[in-house]
Amino acid sequence: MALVAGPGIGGSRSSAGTLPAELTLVIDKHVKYIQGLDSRKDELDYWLTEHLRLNGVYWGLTALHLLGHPDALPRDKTLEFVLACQNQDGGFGAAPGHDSHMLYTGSAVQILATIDALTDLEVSQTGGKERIARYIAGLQDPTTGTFAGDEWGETDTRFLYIAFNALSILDMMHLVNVESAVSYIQACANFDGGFGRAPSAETHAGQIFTCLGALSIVRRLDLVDAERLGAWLSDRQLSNGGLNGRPEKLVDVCYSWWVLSSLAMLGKLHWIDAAKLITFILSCQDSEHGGISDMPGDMVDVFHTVFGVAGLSLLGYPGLVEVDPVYCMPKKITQALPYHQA
Amino acid sequence: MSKAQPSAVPSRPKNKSAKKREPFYAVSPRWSDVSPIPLIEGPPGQKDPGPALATIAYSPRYSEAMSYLRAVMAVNEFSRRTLELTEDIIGMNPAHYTVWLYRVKILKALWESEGTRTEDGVMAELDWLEEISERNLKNYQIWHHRQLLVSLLPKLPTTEPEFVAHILSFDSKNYHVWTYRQWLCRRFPDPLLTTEMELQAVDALISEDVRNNSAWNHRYFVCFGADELKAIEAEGGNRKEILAKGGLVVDEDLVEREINYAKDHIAWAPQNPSAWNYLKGVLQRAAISVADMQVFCEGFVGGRHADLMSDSVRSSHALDWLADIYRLTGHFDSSKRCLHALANKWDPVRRKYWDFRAKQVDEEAREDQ
Ligand SMILES: [Zn+2]
Repeated sequence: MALVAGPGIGGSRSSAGTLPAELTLVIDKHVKYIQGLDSRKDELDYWLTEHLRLNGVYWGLTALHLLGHPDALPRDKTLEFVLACQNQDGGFGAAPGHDSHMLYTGSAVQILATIDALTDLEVSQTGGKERIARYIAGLQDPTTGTFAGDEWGETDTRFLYIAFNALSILDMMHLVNVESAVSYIQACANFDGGFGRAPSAETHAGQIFTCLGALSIVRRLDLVDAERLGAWLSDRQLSNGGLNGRPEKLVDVCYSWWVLSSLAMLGKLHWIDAAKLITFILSCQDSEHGGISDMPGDMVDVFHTVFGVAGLSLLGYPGLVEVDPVYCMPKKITQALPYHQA
Repeated sequence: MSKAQPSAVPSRPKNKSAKKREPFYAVSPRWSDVSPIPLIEGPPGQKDPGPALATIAYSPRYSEAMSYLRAVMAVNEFSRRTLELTEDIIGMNPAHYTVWLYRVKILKALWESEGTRTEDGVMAELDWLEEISERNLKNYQIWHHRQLLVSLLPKLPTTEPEFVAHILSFDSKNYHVWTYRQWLCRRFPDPLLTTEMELQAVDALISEDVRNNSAWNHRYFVCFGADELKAIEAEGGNRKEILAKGGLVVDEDLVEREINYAKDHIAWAPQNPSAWNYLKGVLQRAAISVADMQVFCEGFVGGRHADLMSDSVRSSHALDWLADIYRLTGHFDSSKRCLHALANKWDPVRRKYWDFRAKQVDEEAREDQ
């Protein structure tokens, strides 16, 4: 998935002949890369990815926070943009004028929490938080317990996770039927111990992340067989250190994050080789212009940049802000949420 | 209202290049009665072009088409020209979800006003969709659109299995296609599941690439999963509970056939995780102990007393299974030999995981004394 891909190539280095093991994270260059994304809007890729714009802000902002540069994007303009994406129904679209969708509503809530603007929301509009929460709650299927992405009904455990993520941030979990959602997740468990996007759908690391994330939020990880799942997840690491999302697929920085964060939720992070994974992620960065790609030699983009940085944070790479594996947000922000004080 | 009129096959705009700068709709006499609605950027009243990362810059051509889309959607116009407009926009940006939904509404209205039979309308639209599907394999909207159309049909179109196979020939692991394929099986169990049709199709895919995990997942669905799903939906609960309750009939012939199928394919590629996972799934479904597989697994490591650090080992999965089997049967030293070989020779990347397993064996051995 490319969002404003390039111009750099992951794995290119300023000084030729440097060994991958000696690479370090070029924090300042990644910050500049993200700040610079906006100036490339004359390029074709930019408007083609318009349907991802609000997600893009979340990815860029989160990466900056984890890199320790939370103020690198102006807060007032970020807030203004997010609010401009909100529709009458309380949900958010990808960009101003776009229809509401769970994907963007989730990103909007995460951005608002990250820039500490949830209270601004209450000031600017009465019941602002609840309006968003009601939009999300309205997407729950009353018979199956899962969530649709929008009013037209694509369902995916991804949307269920985003709903729990956003509603817990808003402290509005009481608006949904948690129990039926949890049994839906259980119905998605497969014969190999993993989870798919719907019952019987193939196990996929991204969907394991969403199912474990949702169960973590409602403190029901006791329902999963941590050892069997941990074994499947750790089996995703290949000899070059990178992780794939399914057996026999290619390694990818974003899958490294989903597998890694899932292992962290299960308390099995130590089952993979951290040093090798760090080397793999660093071999995907463009150390000259900043940005991280999906695998060495591909074009960098903001999506893989945030998941690469988040992975390094989870692995304890020095100089990074600690990430919450459940939310993919700075841990100090999620820990302070009222929902997690209870 | 003539039925002879060609049904919903839109004419194709001559030029779909998104980079083109010349206006298309503004100069077309067919659109002269429509006042386009341009997108207002940013919050109302904001002079400034907008916040970082956020300003929308369209190509002029796309931007123009979208402004006409907003105008016709605002008045719910369902017509031939709006159908063409949706095609134009989908051609430039198939990920724009709103335009697909609008297209469905237009189609239904046109079928009604032009007297087109639903079946004919659907088939014509599926033809149109085929070409886009090949160019946009990862796009969800296309599959959602297809599902919506096919759900309007009373019987499985004979061309559909062929089409799915054709698309899988480009990308045999495409998640959207497999999801659609399962939906198709559940929508039309007759003939897909009541005959050998789907089983043969999945066997062909596995023969082509024995490591295709998606195909193995689908095989489980065809043989067992579809029934499990039915039970889950009827009784509520989840797979684990349903299996534990023992309410699902286990067809012994089927189980035996599938165990042999998995074993044959493991013999063919002993290091293929998908076939091993499948075998474990079938054993669980039939409540058969993994210990029954001892001799089979030993065949891949050079026998019971082989040197596990030597080349007699042909499968790390067999070692993994044997570690479990020996533990379950109380042969703790043998179990630990397998785990030691995995940690030190066959899968050192996961050394910590194998060490954890070895510690578990130690604990069990201690309890056993
Ligand atoms: Zn990726």
